[in-house]
Amino acid sequence: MAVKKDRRFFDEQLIIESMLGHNRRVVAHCRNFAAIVSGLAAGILGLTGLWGLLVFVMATLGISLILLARVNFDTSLYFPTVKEVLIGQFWHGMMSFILFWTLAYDMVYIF
Amino acid sequence: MEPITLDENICYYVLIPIFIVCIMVSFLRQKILVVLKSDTKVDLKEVKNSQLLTRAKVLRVNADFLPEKAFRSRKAFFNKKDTGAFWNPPDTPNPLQAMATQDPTQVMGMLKSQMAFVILNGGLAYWVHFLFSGFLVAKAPFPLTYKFKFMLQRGVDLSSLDVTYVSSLSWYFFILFASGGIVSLLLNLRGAPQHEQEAQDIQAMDMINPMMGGMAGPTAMPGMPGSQPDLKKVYQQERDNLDIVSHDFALATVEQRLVQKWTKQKQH
Repeated sequence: MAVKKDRRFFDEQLIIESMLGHNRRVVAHCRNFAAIVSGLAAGILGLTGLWGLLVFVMATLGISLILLARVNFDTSLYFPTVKEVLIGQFWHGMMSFILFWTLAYDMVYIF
Repeated sequence: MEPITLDENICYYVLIPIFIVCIMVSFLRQKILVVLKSDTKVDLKEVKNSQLLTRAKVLRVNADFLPEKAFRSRKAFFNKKDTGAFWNPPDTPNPLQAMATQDPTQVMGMLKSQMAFVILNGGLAYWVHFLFSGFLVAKAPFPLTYKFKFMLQRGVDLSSLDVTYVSSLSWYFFILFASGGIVSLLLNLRGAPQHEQEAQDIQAMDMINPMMGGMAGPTAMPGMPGSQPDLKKVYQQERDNLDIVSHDFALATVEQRLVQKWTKQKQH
């Protein structure tokens, strides 16, 4: 038992905070990109209301899966928990998504 | 309600131009801020003090990676009574004097970057208001409550108009708030954000608050009058922090753990 506790303590200690921050930023970067592309897609398809939100959620989860696949489903090298890649910074790209959704929708449909 | 048909020319001559100009100006602002920020002068003494504090903090955080003796000798450098670095804080000039002798270029730098922010954004708002006031340029593709009406239809006072229509001025403000993502993507076109410092600067600059636009980096902070902390107190606090640290050498059993790891890997 004592050994186990020891190990966990070391694992926490051995994380370099700035590197972790960099990884988080990269994830946020990818989320941003996904939000913009999916916003454009949702606008061009003419989705409104909750359907758009659904597309955003799908895109965010999709980019999470792509990121996971990129690291062969082993995130322990980059993040302390898998959660961080899956749903960390989930709403990061929301504003970008809404902006591009509105832009594309308006350009295609309301004029 | 009958949907309103907007003229196609509004799309080509209002909606898209405002969007592109806004993004480009945000982009330009970031670059201008970088140019203006680069020529900050630093005081040697101030840097020395802050580096000393940083070193103490690094020692505190990474204490467990040092052997007992090394940690003790480093701690002694800071904390040894009467001769340690934290026992002899340099005299802090009183705030009035500090303000009088302050390097004016620092204040100028802050002023300049704030001016850049105000001129660019204010000018842009004026441009949109002057050329495009009264246009309905967009329609949000999702339902909104009535409260948003005043936010989204600034400059157009029609009480019976559907809430989801957006006026030109509001479209400009919306882009201003939401363009952070696309601008940071553009700034880091060649891949992931590379340098931590740069990324931090960008994040700090993303803030819309004009007061914050100028003092993005930590180096700009000491120039603020009145922000000069009492070094004696800070040193005292850091000394206490160092005293509290319970040292526990983390690498004592490192060889065994490495061997354990290898045997584990071999088993797989």
